[in-house]
Amino acid sequence: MQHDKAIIKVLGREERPSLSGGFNERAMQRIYREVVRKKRRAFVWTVVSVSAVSLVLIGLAGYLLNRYTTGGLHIRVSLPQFDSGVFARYEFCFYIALLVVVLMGFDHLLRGYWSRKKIKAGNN
Amino acid sequence: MERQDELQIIERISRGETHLFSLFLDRYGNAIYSLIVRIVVSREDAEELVQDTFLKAFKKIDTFKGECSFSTWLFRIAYNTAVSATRKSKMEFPSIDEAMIARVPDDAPDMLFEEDQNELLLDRLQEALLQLNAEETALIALYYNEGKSVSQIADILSVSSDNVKIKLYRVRKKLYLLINNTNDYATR
Repeated sequence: MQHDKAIIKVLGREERPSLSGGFNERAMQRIYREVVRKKRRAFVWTVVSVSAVSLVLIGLAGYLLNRYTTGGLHIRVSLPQFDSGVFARYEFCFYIALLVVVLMGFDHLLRGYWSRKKIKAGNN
Repeated sequence: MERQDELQIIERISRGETHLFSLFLDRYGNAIYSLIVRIVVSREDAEELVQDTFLKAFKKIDTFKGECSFSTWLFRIAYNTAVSATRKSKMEFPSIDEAMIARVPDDAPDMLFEEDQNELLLDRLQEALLQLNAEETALIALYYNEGKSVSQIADILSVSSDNVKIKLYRVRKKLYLLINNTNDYATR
């Protein structure tokens, strides 16, 4: 099949077409315009989503405040209590430290995942 | 430009260095144009479609993960863009009964296309090539013109390598029929 000399010769008879002068500049102009459009879309999307989330939060806060002031809301958060020793004095610090350890572990996992993915893409 | 370099450039483009995309225009612009112009014939339309191809590639560049080479990915976009343009313009191509194609002996096209000194045959072959539909033209252009391998074409057309081989054999048989008895077999 690769030795189909006649087909190769006929295709070779025609001059290989090339793009007109200034094509790359025109194409890049279109791409730059797309970048501007993309940025504008991202900005609008951010404004819309932030506004929507803010409205929901304000609404929720208003609702909770209303329930709280009318006495219809009872919130009870149960956290482990340390009655004695070092933990009792540094309870707040303990929670922060725990949170930091959890977040660092999460960060480590994500970094590992992304670097593995990058190496895999590079090998392909 | 090595594959690793291309991946680095793509990453930099994704991070906002848009001007680097012109490197791909310089490198692949004419090859993409050559494929598209064969499919859509009109040079003006082809230039527009090349721009569309690169714009689509730019928009989707974040989705390129390097599973295939960047050129294969770009050719896939170009092929899909050109084929859908021919569908929209409702271009008509002669169709040949599948049973006729199946009846052509496997070695008949081999013998016919080995001959490259017969000017009459070459002229008829040139006419026959113009009667192929968009998918068939793309297949011929990618295999014989661009020198792509069967597996690369399979990636571009998103089909299996076996499927590409079958399609190539079928197109060669169709060309054989068009050359030998154009008026009897071709119907618009």
